[in-house]
Amino acid sequence: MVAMVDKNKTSGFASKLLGWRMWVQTAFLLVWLDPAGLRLHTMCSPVFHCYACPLATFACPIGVIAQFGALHVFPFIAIGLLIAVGALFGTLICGWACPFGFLQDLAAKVPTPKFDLPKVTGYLRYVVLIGTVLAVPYFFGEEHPLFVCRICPAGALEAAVPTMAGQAITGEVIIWPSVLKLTILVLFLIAIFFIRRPWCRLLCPLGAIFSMFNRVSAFFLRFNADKCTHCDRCHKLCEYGIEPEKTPNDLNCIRCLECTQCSPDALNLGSIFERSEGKNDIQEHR
Amino acid sequence: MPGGAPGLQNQCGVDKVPGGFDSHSPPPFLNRRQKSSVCVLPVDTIIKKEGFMINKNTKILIFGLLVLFGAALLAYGAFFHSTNVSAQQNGQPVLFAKSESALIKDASVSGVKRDETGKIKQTYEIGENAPKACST
Repeated sequence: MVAMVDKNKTSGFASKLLGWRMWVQTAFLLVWLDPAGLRLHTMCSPVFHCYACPLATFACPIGVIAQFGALHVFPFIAIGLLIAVGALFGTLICGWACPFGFLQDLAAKVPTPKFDLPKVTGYLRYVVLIGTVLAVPYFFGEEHPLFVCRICPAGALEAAVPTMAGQAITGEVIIWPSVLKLTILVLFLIAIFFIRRPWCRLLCPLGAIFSMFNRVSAFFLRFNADKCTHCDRCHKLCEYGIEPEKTPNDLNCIRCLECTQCSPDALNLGSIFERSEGKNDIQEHR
Repeated sequence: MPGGAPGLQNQCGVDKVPGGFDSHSPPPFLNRRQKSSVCVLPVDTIIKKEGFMINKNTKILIFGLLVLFGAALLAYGAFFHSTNVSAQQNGQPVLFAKSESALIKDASVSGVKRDETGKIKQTYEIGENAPKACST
């Protein structure tokens, strides 16, 4: 009985928090936007937020990995942080804490027709990770046009645009980013109104890293086959085209936890910190 | 034996029952396509799609190792790791060790670059302010 009470704590807390997801994202936004002016750029955050942004508390882990790759120095802090946070939360970070994901979630609230993406496009993120974050910086340095920071829409939106605005206001010469970066920014700004989380699902290298921890992270999606009535409601609840009852810890899942609203309660958030598990939850640890 | 040999009715073998007659109705006939959609249990589907199954203890072990490994890398980077960086001081080249934390801060504003010889150079003189923003 104690075990059952403990077992329900994680999922109970998650289901209570689900309606407040936007507010949780807003609270995290305040952490990343440096309201106290701390500028702790000697440390990385576990989210996708450009350190060149005038409002950035921490350094971007992807930017640091790429810059260190260009210097041929191993980024112990960034890699260590991503492994530790990934092992704990997996892509829960994407769904609940990432400011760039939050921006896309807000844009998705605009009532425009939404298009779905083929599932295979999720693998593009690994191409971006290996190509623009690891290979290009290491072999060609940071001057290469495909260096991740030179094409990153987060950098363009959060850093280049405010910097250009500041230069325009103060009457300085405006330094424009590359045409490629501006094109990607424009495409991104259009896409966020017609595709849910296009950056996260198609190209995000940080999401690619965290998704690799989904099957082993401390917090995971638990599926109880005995409770499932095959009503397919979870398919409709999932806005990212995942079939949660088949692949609860899918690589493309951002852990928004919307699927846990299915009425038979067959899907819920589990954690390895629970003291015991039910006899029916044979599939939870995968 | 009354009723014939076991398995007569459904032709796929049954448990022996008292009396020797299998009263269970035969399973419905399904073609291959129907079998593939009906007979596969959800758990089988998951194993097939996700490739492997991890029990709780294995998961705790993997999680513990990953967190320890991540924390060890993080601690090493934060407290022990440093890189030799060359810089200019009053027009003279100086070589000094820069901690990884300081290197992150400098890298985020293009304050360090790798030259053709493979050496890491600080882009501003010692005592001067670092660049304000990243060059990208």
